[in-house]
Amino acid sequence: MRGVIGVNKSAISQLIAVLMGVVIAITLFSPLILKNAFAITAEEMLEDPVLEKRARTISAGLRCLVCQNQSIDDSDAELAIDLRKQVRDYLKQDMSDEAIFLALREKYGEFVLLSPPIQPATYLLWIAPLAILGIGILLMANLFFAAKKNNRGSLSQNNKSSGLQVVLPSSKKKKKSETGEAQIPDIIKITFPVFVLILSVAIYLGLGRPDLNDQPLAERSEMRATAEKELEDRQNAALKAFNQAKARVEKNPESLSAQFMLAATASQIGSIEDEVNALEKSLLLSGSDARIKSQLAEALTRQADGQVTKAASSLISQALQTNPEDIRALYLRGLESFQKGEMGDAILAWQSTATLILPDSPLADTLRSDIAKAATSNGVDIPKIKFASLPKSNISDSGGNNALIDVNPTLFEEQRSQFSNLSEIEQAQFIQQMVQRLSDRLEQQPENFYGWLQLANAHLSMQDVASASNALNSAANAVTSDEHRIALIEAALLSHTSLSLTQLVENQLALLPDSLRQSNSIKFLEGEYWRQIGDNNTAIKLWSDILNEIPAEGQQAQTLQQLIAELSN
Amino acid sequence: MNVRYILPIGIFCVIALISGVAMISILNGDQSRTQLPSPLIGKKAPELVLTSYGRSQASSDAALDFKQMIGDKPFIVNYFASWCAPCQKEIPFLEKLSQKVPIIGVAYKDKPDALAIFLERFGNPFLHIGLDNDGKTAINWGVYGIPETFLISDEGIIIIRHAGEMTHDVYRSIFLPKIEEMMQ
Repeated sequence: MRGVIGVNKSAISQLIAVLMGVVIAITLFSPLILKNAFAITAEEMLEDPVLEKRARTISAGLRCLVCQNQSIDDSDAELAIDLRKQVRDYLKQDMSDEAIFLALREKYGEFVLLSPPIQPATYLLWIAPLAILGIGILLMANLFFAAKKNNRGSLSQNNKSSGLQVVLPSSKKKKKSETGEAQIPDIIKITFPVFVLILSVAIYLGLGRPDLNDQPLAERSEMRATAEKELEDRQNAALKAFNQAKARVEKNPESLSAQFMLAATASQIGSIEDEVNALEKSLLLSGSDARIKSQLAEALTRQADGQVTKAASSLISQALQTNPEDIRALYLRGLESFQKGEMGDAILAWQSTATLILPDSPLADTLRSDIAKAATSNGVDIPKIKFASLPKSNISDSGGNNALIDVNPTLFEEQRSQFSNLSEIEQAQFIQQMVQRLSDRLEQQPENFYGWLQLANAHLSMQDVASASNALNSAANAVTSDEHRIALIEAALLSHTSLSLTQLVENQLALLPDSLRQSNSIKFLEGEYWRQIGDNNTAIKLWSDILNEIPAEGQQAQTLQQLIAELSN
Repeated sequence: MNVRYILPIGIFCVIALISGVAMISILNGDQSRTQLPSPLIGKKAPELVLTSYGRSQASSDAALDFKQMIGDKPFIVNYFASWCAPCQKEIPFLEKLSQKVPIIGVAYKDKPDALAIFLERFGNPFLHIGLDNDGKTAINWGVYGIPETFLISDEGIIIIRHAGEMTHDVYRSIFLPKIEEMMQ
């Protein structure tokens, strides 16, 4: 009976093994079996059957890079279809199989070859299946021989023994000794799970969760490290600037620009106390400039965690007295009213702030939400906000990448239109005051190049070319870099018509290094210079040179073409 | 000890070792499936033979002259299509990027009508757009899925190929260092 059951048992397990083998084989060879369901369509095929056969063989060896585990012969992906066509095109051009593989490999890399070439990097890949097969055979052989030995042993024992009583104990004994031998040592029993556990933890820590695979830990920590380093660099730079400004203030404590710089750098490193101190000193040095008053008011407000203090409030009033359109002061007035609970006043102040700024400036969003907040807490509808609307400058269109467009009269129109709400007399008064303050300051600091430029611009906006020309000549004495020189040339060209300025431009151009003079922006300026002194031909020549070097469809090119066309007439 | 008990452990160790090596190489990102390495990097960019989209119909199906179009500056070639979602997503970033680096767009197997709607809806960051009607140019460039973005040096050499959506992070970590290197 036992024998029969034993045979049955092994027969069943053999059957299961065969069935499993069949399933595995079907799975493995299904691509071959299902080959009739290939993706290729009749219209793709070549007429010549020999060429078509070659095309099929080549396609079968090329990987579809979209599906990645199929050949292009099997795939329906768009790219696979294109690649099949490409292969057939190559064949029509009489290319050899190797040449076709090579051509595609040059474009898509090794990965396009479905069977990777045998080379040191792929040894493991090629050997691994063979090695696993070898191990499998060894394992099977081992089991087979062990079973045979076992059978023979029990068979001879059965022959020797005559009764059941004898067999049982002896076979029991044998089994016991066998299981004793087979017993896995306790150490392995314990260490193996621990080993697996540690290994999996190690893999987990190394990779992160499997679903985060495409952004591994190493990459993430690297990104974080770069971000941290950037922040640190920026903080260090700000700190350095602050220390420099501090040193400058210690050297000449009476210098307004030094104090002002200190305030700006202090604000960057977040030291409000230093900022307030520096601004207070700046205020004294400037003879109570209204703009510094509003800045100080803002700093004081920040120091008080956003509360508009009494000191700040009086500064705001003073600043608004001098300039009722001081954006900062107006905003703070609104904030003050808001904090006092006077929502109507707050909205009014903020609305007039809005009329002074562009709808896409950083303050605009704050204003929108602030006004909305005030309106809601007052139980009224959120009022419409009217922002300033200025003609969009060409600079933002072109990305402001060079000075080409800077020489643009619309810039001045813009600056002037900011004052357009005031009457003409008020405008003139305002500018006059500004000019007076500026020239007083510049008398003490004749080395302030940009101050002189600003003064020249102010004079120019009042059509006072003679004074502007004087200011530019003073600026020429304060030039310390090529950047200054270029800015000066631009400013001088903008004010045109004065003979002394023509001379100035000529001198400054001559002082620029050759490398800069070959650049497009300087060439443009030089062209403008020639145009102004009446030599249109030289101007056209220079501008045409630029035109040949820049993209023909850009805005700059169009502007240039227009300018050239105007000159040619 | 019997070989029967050493063998499974041995096999396990070998498999663990192999998968460990594979995982480390994935971790280092050198064999990522979504970012296949392009053999064209460091080589001269293949010609762009495209049907011009838009106004200059006269120059259709001729190779683009990068030099004449852009000058001696690095530029970007972006393969896209109106029917591809990541391409739509990357347009806002490309618009910002186009202010710094000129971008040539290659519309892959696209129809001019669909393209016009796409550009109107999502924006047009491209200095020039060409249509790759049969996908041949894309194959020449080793493109295997759109969007793909190439950085080309002022000398016309392919410096970077990025497969997938272009984002600010990708630009900053991969493109920017190379662009800065070139500008020096």
